[in-house]
Amino acid sequence: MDYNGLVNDCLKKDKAAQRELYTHFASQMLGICYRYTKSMADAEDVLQEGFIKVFKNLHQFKGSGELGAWVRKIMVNTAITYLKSQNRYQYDLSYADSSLHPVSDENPEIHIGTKELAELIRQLPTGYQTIFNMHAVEGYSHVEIGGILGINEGTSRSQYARARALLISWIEKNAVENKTGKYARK
Amino acid sequence: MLLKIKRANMHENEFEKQVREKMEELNFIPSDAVWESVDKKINNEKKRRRPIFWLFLFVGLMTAGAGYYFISGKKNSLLAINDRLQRQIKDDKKNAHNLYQSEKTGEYKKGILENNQYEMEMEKAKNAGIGSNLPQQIRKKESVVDDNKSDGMYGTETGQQKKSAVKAGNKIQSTIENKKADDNVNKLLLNGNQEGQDVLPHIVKGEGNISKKPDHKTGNVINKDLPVDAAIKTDSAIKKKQIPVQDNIPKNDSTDKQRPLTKNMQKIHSSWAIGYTAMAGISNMSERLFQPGSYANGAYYSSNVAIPSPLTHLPSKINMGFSWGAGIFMNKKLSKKFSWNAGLHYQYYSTHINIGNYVDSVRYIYQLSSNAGGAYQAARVAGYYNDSSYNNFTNKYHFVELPLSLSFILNKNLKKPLAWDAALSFSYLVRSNVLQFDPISGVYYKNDAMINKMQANISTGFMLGIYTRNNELQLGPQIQYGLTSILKKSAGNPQHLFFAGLKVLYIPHKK
Repeated sequence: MDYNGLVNDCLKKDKAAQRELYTHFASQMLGICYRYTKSMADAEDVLQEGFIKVFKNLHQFKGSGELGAWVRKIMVNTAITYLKSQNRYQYDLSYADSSLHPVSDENPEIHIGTKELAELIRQLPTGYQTIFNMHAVEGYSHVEIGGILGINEGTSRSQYARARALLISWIEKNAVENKTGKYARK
Repeated sequence: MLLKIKRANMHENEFEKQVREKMEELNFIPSDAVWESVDKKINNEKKRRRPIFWLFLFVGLMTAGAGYYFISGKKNSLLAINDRLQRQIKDDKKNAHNLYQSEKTGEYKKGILENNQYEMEMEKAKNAGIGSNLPQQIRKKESVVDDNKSDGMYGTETGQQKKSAVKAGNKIQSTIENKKADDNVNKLLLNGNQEGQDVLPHIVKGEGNISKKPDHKTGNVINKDLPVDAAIKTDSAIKKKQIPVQDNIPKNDSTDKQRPLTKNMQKIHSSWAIGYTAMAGISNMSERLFQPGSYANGAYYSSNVAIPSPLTHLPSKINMGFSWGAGIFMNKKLSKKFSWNAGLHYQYYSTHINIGNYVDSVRYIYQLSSNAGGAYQAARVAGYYNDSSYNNFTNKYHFVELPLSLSFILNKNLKKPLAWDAALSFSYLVRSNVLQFDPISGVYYKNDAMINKMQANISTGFMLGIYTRNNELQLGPQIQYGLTSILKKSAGNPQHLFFAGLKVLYIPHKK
């Protein structure tokens, strides 16, 4: 796909081009927004705000980079801003180590589906969920996460380790339940 | 040891790699509402011009136009009458002067000829319909001309010369006296009009010569056929009509210059005057006077009733919005210090809240209901807004108001009077898009049944008056507070509309 041509058309306020750009990235970006939020309605709100930012800042996009990565970055930033602004996420977003979860260095095979895994990630406390998404999926370093979320690098690292351990335990539990269910059905 | 760390990192990367690969596959198709909202925002879709705005504008312009037409039409008809009267008075003076001159020089014939010419002119004017509007005493001028004719006839006979001489002497005397009287009338008209005094009492008392020696032969405006009182009344009618056309009367410039502007302005409208008003400022919700509504006790949330637990959603904070209004009013000065206004006013109020996307589907919400004894009751809504904070929503209120205000001038500076005013207004909510919040399901929905459409407001402020020629402009700060709650008692905590801003009044006066 010729992203540069598409971007240029969008900058000329070509509605068809804008719609095409939106359609091309919307479903993938909604997946990202979904991972960061707790409901589909919230995810759609983030998606909407994210795309508004994309179109309003499209002139800043450097043609040399990957458009998808640029849009993705905007979506992640929008999601984090959204979480910070929401009253109901405030409590969960505190990164204090008040409730410690055991750290695990296990590396299990993930035998569950994409949506099941996404649901497990979304069940993490918002602070864990955010840091896990940023580090494990988006590939941000703990220094970057600390800068974005306004926390120490160490806090980010420890929060991530606990989030990872919690998620692995849920994945294993899920796998066992699936297995039990499977044998029970047999 | 290093090998162990490296292996752990490798394992970590393997887990993250699996997560990343799976999450890359995570896709959802968004609802159409998302694109519609994005499209609307990025392309700055022009807001539909609301017909109600144009309706009010139309009504306002029509009212203003009708008011102007009424005032200017009345003024023009008065001006036309006065113009004719002034011309007649001038002609009378001229004729009187000619007569005096002719008698002085013995040129009776010339005077007769002139008077005949005048008679013909009057006849023409009569036929043109001008005479019908003139007061009787001016039309009686014709009899003066008849007498002059007869005087001329007698003047040729020798036996009547003495009589004629006596008559001529009387005529000259009375002409001079009446000329003086005319001058006095004009002077008094000028001075009296400027100072707001009635000129006639002076004349009746003998300061002028009219009532002393009424002589119709000299072209004086007083008719001897009428009783003095009637003549005065008729004369008063002329003078009253003369007031707005002072420019047509020869003026004493020095007197005019001495006339103080403030007194003139003070006198400008002692009767009803039409004025226009405009207001602009900010509006907000307040729980009580000077206590702004917060999100915890906003118009969309009730804190004085038991809320089913757990309370999962909090409403948006309420932020102030823009407010403006315009209207027309009638102004009446009650005294030097007091005046009052009554009129018709359109006022727009707004507040801002942050909400989520609109969802066009039926769902059940919980709202306070008086039927359920003030408890929450489930109700069905056709559409709702999610509880998010990414869309700025403007709650709009369109009111028609009937304000009654009393104004009191605080200072003695008549050029720039500072007035304090207080008003009571009754208003009706014509249209609104205001949203209510359901703290249980966390959605915003529209329900006009929860709103008090009839409102009573109080307002106060200071107005600084500025006079420009014949117009009056007043401007100053105003605050307004809704005495009645915008929400019905059964719908939640009392919430009152509050306005603060600048008010401008414009009163165009008759020239």
